[in-house]
Amino acid sequence: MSLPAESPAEMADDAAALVRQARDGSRAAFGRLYELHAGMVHGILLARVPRLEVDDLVQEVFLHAMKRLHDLREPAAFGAWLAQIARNRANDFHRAACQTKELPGELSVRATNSVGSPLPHFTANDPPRAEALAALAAVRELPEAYRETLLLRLVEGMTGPEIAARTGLTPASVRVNLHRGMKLLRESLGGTASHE
Amino acid sequence: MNEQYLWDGSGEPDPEVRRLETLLGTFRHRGGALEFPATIILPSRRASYWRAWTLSLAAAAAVAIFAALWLVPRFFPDPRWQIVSIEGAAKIDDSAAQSRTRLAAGKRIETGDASHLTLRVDGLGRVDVGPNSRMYLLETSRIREEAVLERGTIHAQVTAPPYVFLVRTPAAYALDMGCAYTLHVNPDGSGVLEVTEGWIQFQHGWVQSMVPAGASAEMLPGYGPGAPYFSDASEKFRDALRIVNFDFNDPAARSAALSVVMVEARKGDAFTLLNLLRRVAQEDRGRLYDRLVEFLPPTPGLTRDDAINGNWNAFNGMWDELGIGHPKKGVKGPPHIEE
Repeated sequence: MSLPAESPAEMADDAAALVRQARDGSRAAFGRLYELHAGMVHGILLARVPRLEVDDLVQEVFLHAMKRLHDLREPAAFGAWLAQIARNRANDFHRAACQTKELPGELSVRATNSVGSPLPHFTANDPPRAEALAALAAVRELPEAYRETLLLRLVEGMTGPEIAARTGLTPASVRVNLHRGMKLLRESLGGTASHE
Repeated sequence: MNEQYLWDGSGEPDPEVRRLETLLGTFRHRGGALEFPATIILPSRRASYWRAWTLSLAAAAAVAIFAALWLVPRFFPDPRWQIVSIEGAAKIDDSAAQSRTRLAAGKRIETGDASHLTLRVDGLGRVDVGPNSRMYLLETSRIREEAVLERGTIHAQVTAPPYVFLVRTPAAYALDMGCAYTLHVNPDGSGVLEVTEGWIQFQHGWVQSMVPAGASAEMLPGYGPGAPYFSDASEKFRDALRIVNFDFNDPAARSAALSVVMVEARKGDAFTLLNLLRRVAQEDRGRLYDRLVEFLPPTPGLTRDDAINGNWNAFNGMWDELGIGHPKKGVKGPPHIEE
């Protein structure tokens, strides 16, 4: 994991500048906003919707954000605004879709993601893959706040300060969510609970 | 658990966290580029401003159109007066009158020796303007239709509510209470009102005559309307009444004329005698009262002294006894009329 090169305030300033450029019609600026925030959106969605739907929904969230960019009153709040769009889109998905069940591991292994990249070629009997699926399933059983924060940290590789800066949560909230979420996850996975 | 590593990845890696990072990292977002659909154009700030402006302008235009459609007819209605027929030469201001022309306030209507013009007042009635007449429209609005008959004759049939239709003359104004009437003004400003339906409040200053259907009242500039009389009164009665009404310079002649009125009066003229009580000199009120009660028995409590002393409220019951109705019963009070 690499440390964020910028402070949360600098990240917000950068996002605000990119939002302004994007509003003036710069696709490159919006592309950069995508690069900076796609992981966050992916993590938020992964915490809420079936794994195989996530990549498509990431695209939908950004396209929606692109269309509604002029509605954003405070450009520096782009991350929090985008995070909320992602949460809303996940809710919409559950309202609109028929009940969707996660495919069993052995049926999902040969699927490709929406951008055409082949998923890592595991099989259900591949111990690392099975363990990863089990870990993901365990995280997704956690309360929503912990689930989202932990996935941003453990899946997307974002640091606590970065999560706070991108999502608009306070650093203290993120820290608590990470700590308590990790404690619950350890218990769920049968590890040793650490002291709080 | 190494809290610092979990928080920001710094320090000694926590083995459990590190293991989960490795496992779950396989689900990380792969970083594919955003697929911009060809049909979507990034909304620029300028475009959003333009859209906001366009929407604002559209909303403002809609409000303005609605306001115009709703308000303009109320505050700037089409003139209600419209010429519906013309016979002979008639003029509107300095131009020849044209049928179907609508007339706004301020217009002058003038007819010649043998001309005749009919006006319709939308929803309020009809006015026939006779020969050698000159009339001005003073006001045409939701609450008042007002004209001045400077000379000549008009015949009005009014369906407007009471107190809406007002015609001024040099001597008095005629305020319609739902009626039909003919108003004639001589070149010197004197004239006569003849009511054929309903009632007219005929007034100048404090001098007021309520004129019912079948009755007339003369008028003289400076004096206002005279006491009304039923149109079938004798000629002698009417000539003498004219003196009583207007000849204030010769009290003796006026008193003598009153005697003629009293002699010529019939039962039906009790209405005129009752009107005259307020107008004659105090010394004539007693004998006039005596003549009146010959036709119309006094209501209980009414005395001769009430007449002599001008206790007019005591006569309210006598007006009811006339049996010609009361024009103001159930009607809201008259508006203030500037003279």
